[in-house]
Amino acid sequence: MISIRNVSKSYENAESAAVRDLSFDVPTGEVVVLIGPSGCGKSTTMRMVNRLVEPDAGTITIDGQDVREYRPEQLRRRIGYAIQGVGLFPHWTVAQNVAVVPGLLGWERDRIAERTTELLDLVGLEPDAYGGKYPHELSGGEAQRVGVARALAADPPVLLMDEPFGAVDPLTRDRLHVEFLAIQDRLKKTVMFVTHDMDEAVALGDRIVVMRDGMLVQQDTPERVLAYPADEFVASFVGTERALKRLSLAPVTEALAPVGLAEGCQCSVSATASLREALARILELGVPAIGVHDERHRLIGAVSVESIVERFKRPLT
Amino acid sequence: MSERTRAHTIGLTAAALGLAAVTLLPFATFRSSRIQTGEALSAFEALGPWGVAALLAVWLAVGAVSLGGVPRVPAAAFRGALGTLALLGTVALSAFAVSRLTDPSTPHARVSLGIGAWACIGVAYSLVLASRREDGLPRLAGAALSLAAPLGVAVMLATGVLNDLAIMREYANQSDRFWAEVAAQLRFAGIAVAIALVLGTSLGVLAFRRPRLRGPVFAVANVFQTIPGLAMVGLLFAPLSWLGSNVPLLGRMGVGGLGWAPVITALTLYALLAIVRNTYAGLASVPAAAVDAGLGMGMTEWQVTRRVRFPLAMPVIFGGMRTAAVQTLGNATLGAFVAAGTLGLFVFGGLSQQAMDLILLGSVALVLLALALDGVLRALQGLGSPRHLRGREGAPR
Repeated sequence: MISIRNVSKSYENAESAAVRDLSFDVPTGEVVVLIGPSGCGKSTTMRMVNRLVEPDAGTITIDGQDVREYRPEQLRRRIGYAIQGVGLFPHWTVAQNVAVVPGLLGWERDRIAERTTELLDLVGLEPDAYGGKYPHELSGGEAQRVGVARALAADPPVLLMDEPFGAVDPLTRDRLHVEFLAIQDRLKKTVMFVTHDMDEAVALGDRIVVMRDGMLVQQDTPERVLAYPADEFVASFVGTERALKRLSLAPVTEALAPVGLAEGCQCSVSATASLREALARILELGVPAIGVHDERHRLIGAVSVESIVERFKRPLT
Repeated sequence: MSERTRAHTIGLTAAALGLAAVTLLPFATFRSSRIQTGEALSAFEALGPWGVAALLAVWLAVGAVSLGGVPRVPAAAFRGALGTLALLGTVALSAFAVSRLTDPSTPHARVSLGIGAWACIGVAYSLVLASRREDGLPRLAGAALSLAAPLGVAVMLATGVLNDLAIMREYANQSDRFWAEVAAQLRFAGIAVAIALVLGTSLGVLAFRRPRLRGPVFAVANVFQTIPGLAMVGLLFAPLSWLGSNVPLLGRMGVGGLGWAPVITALTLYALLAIVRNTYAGLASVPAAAVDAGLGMGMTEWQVTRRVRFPLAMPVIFGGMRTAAVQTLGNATLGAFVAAGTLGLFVFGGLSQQAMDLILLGSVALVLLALALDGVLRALQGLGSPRHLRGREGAPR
């Protein structure tokens, strides 16, 4: 777990503090997304965790250990780091880039080679085809996959990711999100993730920390941030379509109505689908309700516009 | 794929200049003795009809290849080959002119290359260099084009074909001194560039690391650059003389207002700017994300500098070194003013004696040295920078 306690930071030439008395946790195995407009202090907060920036006040601990107890380099080698613009070394091959931290840790050559292959496989890049390429030969999405592989190289328990999926087209970004979640499902890293994109925060975060002017404005699950924005600022930041964003977070099983509603409609969606997909199908087909089936294709209920509205009226826990 | 192109401006210009040089300018100068005023001879007078026809044919061929309609890459290779042919042909024909114009009854007569011949050689070599730079030229062809003309001239020099040319007769008279002065030229330039390299990269790194020192560092390096060479050795005379006579160790080493000390000091100061500027620019051009990633993954500051900053800045830094080296090699002629020798002696000596051939011996040797040095450094730069980093500022194409 990463714990941020009463942390403050001011830069010399800035008028106001970059981070003010900030406290929050990143629980072990979870993804916490820091979000806010540019200059809100989210990147500074992340950079204090691996001591690229030193706080003026407060403490940061990882699994109970104060980060100041380590030499900065030793600390950083144990924390995965993926950044905006990827920061791949242009004069090194993909394999050499992925091998940076294992190399710094003094791993054996064979072990590094094995690990590199394994990681490129993990992020969906054919090791034989990509290992020898240089960064300029990669597409934006491929480069960001390599960035993630590099951050995971020494299997660090903690990952810091500063807009690692910026600067790619929306389709590629969606695919990277799906892949990242699949990897996270397997590896259960403790991830602090910085973004300014609410859709990305909602898609990836177990929790969201909204920041403004160096202060924490709200921290909660994505769905609760969308449902109950703490103030006007958060409401405007999550956008007027926040109800639609919430739809994609809730599985259809949360708005299940009796099967009878969908009678006469030949179609159904899977129980793992989101309410957003279900509503989209309803609108597409022009029907009042749609069936829901389990993995064995048995109908277990139905979803209707009314049941969705009811679901949204219920208070969230 | 047959990619056909429009007319090639450089090729057509070269052809026009070459034809003009052959037809309009004097090709050779005939003198009955070393310091007599010469008699300018046209190409026709010097070479006879067949010689002129051969030269004209080569330049016409250059023009024909450049008119367009020929696939681009072979056209570039042809132009390079024709340029080489024009260069070597002009040099060989000048030797032929000597044998036509002199005989044993006129042992003191001298035949030197006229402005037309030099123009032909200059235009031809420019054409070779230009064709070298065209995209898509196979590496092997490029290397062959780079080497053919210098090798050809070297072979002609070695076999003695050119021995009767005035400039080579001058060389024969001066050969011992000639090589001594070439050595002096190279020694001064080499030492000065080595010092400037150590000093300049340090200052460049300093300017990069300490933004507050950036202004002063560049201001100083720029000032040196603006002081003319003669003024520089003049300004250095007093302080270096004082040092030489008041610091016994320096005096014994030969430091003084004259000799090697002012030359090396001046050359070092001149070479600084290019090296400081490119070191700074190279370091500043390293992507911030790469540095941040390096630090964030746990490289020490020194590891980031050695493994990320310097390799990425290297093409630009090396470019500065190349500029400085070629410039310094030429500037080393300053040595002639302060009794330190160098090829400048031949140029200035020739000027004072009105001995055209002596001037040419010095200046042609200077030009060849500079071209050779530039070629060697370019080749090193090409070998040293990975393929994907070429095309960055300062990297070879």
